[in-house]
Amino acid sequence: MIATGGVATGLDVAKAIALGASAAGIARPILKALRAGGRAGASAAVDAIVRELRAAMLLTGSRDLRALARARRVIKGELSLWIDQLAGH
Amino acid sequence: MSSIGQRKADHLAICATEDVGFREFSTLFQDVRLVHDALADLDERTVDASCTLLGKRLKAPLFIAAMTGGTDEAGEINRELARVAEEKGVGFGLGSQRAMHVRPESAASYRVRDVAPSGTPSGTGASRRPRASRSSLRSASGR
Repeated sequence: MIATGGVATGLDVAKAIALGASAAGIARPILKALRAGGRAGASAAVDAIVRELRAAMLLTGSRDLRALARARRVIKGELSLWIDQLAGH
Repeated sequence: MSSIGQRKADHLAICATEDVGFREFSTLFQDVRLVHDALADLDERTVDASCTLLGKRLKAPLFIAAMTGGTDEAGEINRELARVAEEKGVGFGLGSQRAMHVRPESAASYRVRDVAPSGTPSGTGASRRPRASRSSLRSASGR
């Protein structure tokens, strides 16, 4: 499963993996960075996303993506309602 | 410009400049909290974010997502982003290739294999034209 649509940061990528995705796609933030700063800008945007993902892995004690997929997470608010109410449907 | 070409151009201009994110609705990623592990026996250098996606080894579970194609400007963006993806070791998705089937002459705007020899071009729009997807991938990969 690949998460796309509104994924904006490395932390979003980490959350997607922790929720069961195997990878994530990011479009708009990188397109914006390309428009603003050319290829170097887009490149820096990718670096920042990967750096943030790695920081999330470090802080959750996840040595690799397999560990991140098992990382402890708490789901609150509206997303929790969606999960509760759609369970079994 | 044909209407599909114009639509692609508008899509690019709007996504790059205007606030098109969710307003009332969101991804709900803000409702997910990852729990901090303060005792992890790890340091930054030992974290391994690499993975294999669609048979390709990536440095991170990330791809620059399918966005565009069909116009000269879109072709330039595809090539720039494909080059970045190649340099960074992440995947790359080509944008809606429906335009390529409606106007075969726009195929060049999807051609990125020369700048991203090891990348992972993924065809989209295939759900609308399932039989077209194989030829579109071949065309995009220049093979």
